[in-house]
Amino acid sequence: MAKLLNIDVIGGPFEDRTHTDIIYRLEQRPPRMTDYRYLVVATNLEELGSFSFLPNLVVAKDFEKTKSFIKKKKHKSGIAIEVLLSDIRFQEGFKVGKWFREISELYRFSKRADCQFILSSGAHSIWEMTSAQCFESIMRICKIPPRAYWEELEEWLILHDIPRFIHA
Amino acid sequence: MLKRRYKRRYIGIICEPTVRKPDHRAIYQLILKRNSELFGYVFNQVSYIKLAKNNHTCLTIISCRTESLDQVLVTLAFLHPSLIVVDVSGSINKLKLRGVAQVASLPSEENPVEL
Repeated sequence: MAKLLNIDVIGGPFEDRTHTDIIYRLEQRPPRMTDYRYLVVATNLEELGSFSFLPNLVVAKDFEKTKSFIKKKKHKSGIAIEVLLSDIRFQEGFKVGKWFREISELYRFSKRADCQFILSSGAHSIWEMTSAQCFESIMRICKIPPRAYWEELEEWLILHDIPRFIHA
Repeated sequence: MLKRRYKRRYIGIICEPTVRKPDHRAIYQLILKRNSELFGYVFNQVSYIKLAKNNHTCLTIISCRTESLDQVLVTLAFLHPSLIVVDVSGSINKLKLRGVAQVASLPSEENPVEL
């Protein structure tokens, strides 16, 4: 399905059966070395307050709160800010419009704060997944260069794949 | 005065297979409505979004002006119920050929889901 949408690697919840083309979203870093790729995801900002908890990415629900939190926590540069399309895709037009403006601002902020910006479908089923072409159109409207976005994301994923082995 | 035809892009769409025969016209109307809501009535009109004739039951094909492609794809990503854009092409025949093959590889109620 991901190949059909022109997406090489997708993120998904952890299951018993692991797949090489999926990066698993975990709430905690596994204690042992894993044979699968994973990212530790923080879904709320309160979790980030703990010094022992070091997530790879934070899901931005409230953009302003996320920005102010990352500004305060300078040591967490390199963290990714993930924005989910599922939060907004069925909302009214004016809310979608506001979201587009905020996304442009969040992207510029992530550049300044040395964070990785990630645009994600937030899909719960394969039928909610978004194709790469649609992602790129959203990016162009938000003044995010798609080519640079994909390249930076790939680099960031490679960089966050190495600590998987070091940490374990 | 030169009579030039504007360039169009054809977009292949599929929706969740809860319905065996999706109503292409109803999907098309939903797209028009959402596009107007997001980008305005004027933009919607100048995008020249059209529903292409298609015998394939699962694949809905719409076309629009090339200049409006980004906005139309955004509309498709922000539509309820969810639709999946399987392909974009400048030629309807190529889209049909590729689209039918892609739709055949999709999971259905009979075939289990494979990510």
